[in-house]
Amino acid sequence: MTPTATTTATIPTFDDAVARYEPVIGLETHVELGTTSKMFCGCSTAFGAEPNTQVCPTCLGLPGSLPVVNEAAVRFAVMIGLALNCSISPWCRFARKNYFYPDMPKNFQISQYDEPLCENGWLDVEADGKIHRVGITRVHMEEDTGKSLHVGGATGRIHGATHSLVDYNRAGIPLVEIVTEPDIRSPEVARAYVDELRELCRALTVSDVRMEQGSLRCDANVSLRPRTAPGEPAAPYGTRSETKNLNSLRSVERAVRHEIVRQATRLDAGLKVVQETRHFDEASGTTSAGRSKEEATDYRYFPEPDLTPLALTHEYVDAVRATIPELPAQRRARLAADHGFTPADIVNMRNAGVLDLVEETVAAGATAEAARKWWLNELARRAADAGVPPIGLAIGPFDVARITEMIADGELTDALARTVITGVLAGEGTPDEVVAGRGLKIVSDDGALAEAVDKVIAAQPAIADKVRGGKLNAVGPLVGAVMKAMKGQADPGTVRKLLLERLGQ
Amino acid sequence: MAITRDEVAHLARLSRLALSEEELDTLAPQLDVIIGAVARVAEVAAGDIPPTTHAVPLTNVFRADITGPSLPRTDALAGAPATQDGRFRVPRILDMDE
Amino acid sequence: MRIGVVRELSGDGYDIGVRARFSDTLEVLVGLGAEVVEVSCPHFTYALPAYYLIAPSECSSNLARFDAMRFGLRVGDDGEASAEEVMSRTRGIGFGPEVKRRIILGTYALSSGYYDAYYGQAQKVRTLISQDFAAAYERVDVLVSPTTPTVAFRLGEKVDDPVSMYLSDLCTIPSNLAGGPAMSLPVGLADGLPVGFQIMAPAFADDRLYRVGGALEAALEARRGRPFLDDAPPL
Ligand SMILES: [Zn+2]
Repeated sequence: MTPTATTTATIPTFDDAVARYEPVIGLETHVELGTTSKMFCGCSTAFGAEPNTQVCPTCLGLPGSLPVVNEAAVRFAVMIGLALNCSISPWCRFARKNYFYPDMPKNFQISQYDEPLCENGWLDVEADGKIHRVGITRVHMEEDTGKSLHVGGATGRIHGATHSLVDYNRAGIPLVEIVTEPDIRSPEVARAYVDELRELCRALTVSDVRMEQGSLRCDANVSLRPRTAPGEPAAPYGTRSETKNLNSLRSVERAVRHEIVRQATRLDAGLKVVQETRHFDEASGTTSAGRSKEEATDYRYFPEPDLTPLALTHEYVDAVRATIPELPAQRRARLAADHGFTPADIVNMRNAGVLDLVEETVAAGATAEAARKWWLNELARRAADAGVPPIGLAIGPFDVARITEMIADGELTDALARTVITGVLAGEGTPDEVVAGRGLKIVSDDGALAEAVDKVIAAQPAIADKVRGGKLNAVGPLVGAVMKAMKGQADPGTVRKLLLERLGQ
Repeated sequence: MAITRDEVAHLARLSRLALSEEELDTLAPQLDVIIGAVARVAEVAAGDIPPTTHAVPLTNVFRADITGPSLPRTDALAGAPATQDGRFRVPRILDMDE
Repeated sequence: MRIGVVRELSGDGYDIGVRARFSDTLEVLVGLGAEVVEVSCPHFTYALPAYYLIAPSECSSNLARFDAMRFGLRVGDDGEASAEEVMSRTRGIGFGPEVKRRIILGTYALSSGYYDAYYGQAQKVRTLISQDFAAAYERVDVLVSPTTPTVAFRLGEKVDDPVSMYLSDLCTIPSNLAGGPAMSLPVGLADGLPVGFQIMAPAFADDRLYRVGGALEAALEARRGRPFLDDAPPL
């Protein structure tokens, strides 16, 4: 009996699949550049406008219109290239990629072909506690297409639709396509690469890199080859599939993982992997083949006659290089060296959206540990409660630094500090103003505290006697009573010390 | 034959031109003659000659990243064969059996 | 003013009447004080094939936007046909035979496997033509030739013989490929039809065209006693 994929093949587990086959993964990532205007015309790039309100003769591809390159798009692409350790081409051209599709106004996409702007770079990414260097084949510029809404089929699917409605607001927005070498060997590293690339673009402020809005999207090329024993030459690359338009980090990892298992299943059953475009379904976590009638693509690339070549000088590239800020990897190294943060700390702070705030709070005088603790716990929670990002809170790094200073000086307890934060958030002024206004400062050495101590000792003679008799642990309830009498505005350590003194200990 | 009728039919599909049988019949031999004539370019253009893609040697013609006016939507859609909900209405993108 | 006659843009393929008007005009120029010399631009004979690769290639791409999606004609949108079918039907009906011929030719010349032999080679020829121009302009200020090898052919006469029709463009194509300015001036009739005299100059030296053209036009009108326009049939 001939085995087939559907009847007799058993599906290996992921671990089993990667034990026998080595995944070879390359990623192509499209990043929409955050220019104000489009790549070749003055239309706005703002997200979320009413359909077809950000279009003009050029980006609609009307006859007689001609493109002119947006300098900022070139500059942003060069920044990305430099940050990815690429060499910047001293001379290159745009090229037309010809294919008919309703969302592409001219039925050719202005792109780059054999002369990309940036080539031969790399990006180091961290995964599984190791650094993985991912080679960057090229970074080239191109324009985005319009967006189609498919009508008449099931839930907006293109399959079964009776017609489509096209919005060209996105057509002509500048993109870079960043292509890796097939250097990636696991779904986790694939995800970490996209994550690092996103952080890099964010640090460069060249894109808002919102995967859910499509301003960063990823295609994953996955193939398998049999593992060979150490010392033996590696097997040649297998046939690859390309899974398109992955729009979250989780989808990148899941899609690659699914492809590895799917391809291993086919290979185990003696079937071939088909070179094809596939689509990832978020709901099922599986990929499916793209168009059944895909014709052999012949894009008929040729140099774009309507655009002059780019001949970027050393001076231009150096000037762009000078604008590149600290990159995420450098920043992580510095944060570790200067503040002792672990990689996990940094990831936590970044994911909570407080990393910049922590740094600014340290710069404003707080210790790194205090800044990290207050932003990551209390303030991140307050932000979540208020439904705003931490940076949107009505309390800033200077306020937080002042509060941590008062704690360090023994003027506030953690509990009091939380009350101060509530006051600042309520618009009652600076931390000092809130402390003064609410009368929150710890009372440590004036008559009021001494008086409260005496009252508590008088009110609880039995416990006082135990302490006098040497049972120091018994002082706890008395400390609590004094703190209560002081409405929390005392330092528990000072109270304990005073009580023990009074009781002859 | 530099070009066959089947090749012309393939090229017509690639360039989205529905051609009649008669058109295919006349075009194939005409194109064959034209291609035979233009193939002469191979006689002179040696390997070390750089191709000219832009006659006037300009480079780096840029515009500043400034927004200009877009078309009012009614104008953008004015020439469209069909519209719906402020969008260009186009036929199904995949065939019915896909 | 030194005027160069392009050797390659003359000879057997040129109507006797066209050659006669061209020679007359050169004499007028000499009479005006110009020095006329012959120059050779050896690669101009390859301009026509190069052009008929480059222009159709770029046309095939430029005209792709006429797809019935955003503007203009739409044919066959019956609710069943796909966008691809509607595009093909509309373009099949909307474009005329010469446009379709050029789109197919251009699509062919840009196809993978043919690009280097056709489009790529044609762009190299373009370089050679530009080099010929540059060498010629070392010696002369402007170049001249007939505008077309023959006078106008009858409407529809050459539709089934595109190669012969394309030959009409022989003289004007070199400037188009090299990106230089050129001017055609009516200089008389042959067989009762107008004959054009072409003047070519280097890029950004358009003023030379107007200087030569203006002087020539004035001299020819003086000789005829009236402007050429007066001989045009009424519209
Ligand atoms: Zn526009």
